Amino acid sequence: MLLGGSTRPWERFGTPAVGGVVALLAVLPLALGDLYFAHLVAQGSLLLLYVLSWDLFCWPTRQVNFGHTFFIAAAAYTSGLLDTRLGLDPWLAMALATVVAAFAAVLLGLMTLRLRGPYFAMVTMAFQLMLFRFLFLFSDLFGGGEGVIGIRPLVGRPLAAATVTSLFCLGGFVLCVLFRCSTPCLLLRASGADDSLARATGVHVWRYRTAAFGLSGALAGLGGALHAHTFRQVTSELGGDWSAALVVLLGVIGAPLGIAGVASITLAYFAVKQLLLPLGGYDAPVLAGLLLGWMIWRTRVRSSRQAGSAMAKGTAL
Amino acid sequence: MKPAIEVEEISFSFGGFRVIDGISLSGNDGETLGIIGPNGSGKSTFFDLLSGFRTAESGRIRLNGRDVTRMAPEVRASHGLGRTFQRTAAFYGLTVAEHLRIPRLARRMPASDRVAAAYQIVEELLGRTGIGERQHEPVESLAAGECRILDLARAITQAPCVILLDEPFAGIDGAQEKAVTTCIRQASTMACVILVEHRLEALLSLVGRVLVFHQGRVLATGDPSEVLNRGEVLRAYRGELRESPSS
Repeated sequence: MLLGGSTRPWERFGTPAVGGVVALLAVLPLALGDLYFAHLVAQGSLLLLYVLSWDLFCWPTRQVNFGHTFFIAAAAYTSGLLDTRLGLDPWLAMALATVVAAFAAVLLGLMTLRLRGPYFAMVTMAFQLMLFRFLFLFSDLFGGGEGVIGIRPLVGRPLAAATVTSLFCLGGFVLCVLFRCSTPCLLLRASGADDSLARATGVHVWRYRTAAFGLSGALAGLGGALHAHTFRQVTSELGGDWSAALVVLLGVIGAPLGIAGVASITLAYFAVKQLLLPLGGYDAPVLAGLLLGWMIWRTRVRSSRQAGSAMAKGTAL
Repeated sequence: MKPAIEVEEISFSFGGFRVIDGISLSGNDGETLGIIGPNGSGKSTFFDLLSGFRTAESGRIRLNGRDVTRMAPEVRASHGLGRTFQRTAAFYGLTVAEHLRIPRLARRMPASDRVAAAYQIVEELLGRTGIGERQHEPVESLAAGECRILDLARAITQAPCVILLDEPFAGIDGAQEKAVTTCIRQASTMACVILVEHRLEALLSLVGRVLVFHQGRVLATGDPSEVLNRGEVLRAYRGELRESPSS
């Protein structure tokens, strides 16, 4: 079955629908010839890629990775520096940066192999907080708070460059959907549900976990490198604490609704954020209010479902 | 013919306290062994040692002649060891069908008569207990007893040569007990089954040999009806036997 045996209508029909929207958004700016819109779509698509790549590892393993933006920033800076300092071809720089991010993810994956739940979350958070400050903020090589500027685009025309970025993100979306239907993902879900049981069944948990972490890091890195070449600069904001929290927040909120949920929530957040731009600094309380309302609604739906399930099983008090 | 499982003098301690003390055991294909003993006698720790969740401090464990003493649980599983857990263990979030696909996918098992036989046993078990009709339902929709049956089915779909069953009858009702008993009998035709169970009547209907654990040692072993009438075994169960006979 396409969605790993999913029988939920939202996932079965929502995923192709969201994929269609992402594809349409990717090509629409080119058709309209609007550069501002193209940049906006590229920005939204990149955010989508960050969250989907986070979800790729965190959803099946049921872990919360707070260090994800480190991979994004590591690849963005690597690609930017390879381009500006060494004059490497932007495409080659992007490929190498993706490998660097994947390598960093595999390293972090191996370091946290035995950690679960809050311990995993804490270590990844410490990893992000520590390395982000030491490498990107306090180091002259990475341009300190100002970052790296003057990075060359992947293709000459800005409109085409933004469209290329959006298409890459669409590719990332398709990859994440395919991964969700794959055997490794099913085995990771099993290990996420019960690690000991999975091992007793013959699942080589560490192999799948490390590989998925590497793939998640590579996709995040691809997003970071695309960011560097699309917006032609990398600032510390990309790997900062707020970005880290945002990726986790969107991933956690969307995860119960499947990959279509993650994508919809991310795109909805981005759209609302753009609509709230005229409010200036006041958009944060509005977004927080929306988040709170969403959480309360989800909790109510969930508890009423659980009560219904308990009644059906005859276990209700 | 090599025994399906051979355990030689294995020992294990928790912080200096010896919980398994030089236990040996040997089981052949088609044999069903029962392990009984009071709470805290080391039965589940013994299963953890056999399946690789704990590593023995001394001694050897062999599966079909292969030394697996230092191997990880997933590697032992690929060498033909299947187990269930004392707790209700299930892959929550997966459907019943996905749950049963995990062993085949994890081990990339090629089709064989042995695998086909294992699937036949599981199909019958699921059919008798009604779980088979709920293949597309999530595991969390099953009751605790049904989850235990699913765990047993999962262990058998591994087509193992040794199956360790930790209290397979806990929390299941009369009709389910019959189905589980039949299933274990069928499974024992293709593997060596080792059972830990507190429900003695259920255990005795299945096993040909019983081992009584007490304070990490084998207190008695042999024919179930004979062993259970021994004075030291009865005293151990009543909590009157404070020290093992050899100490």
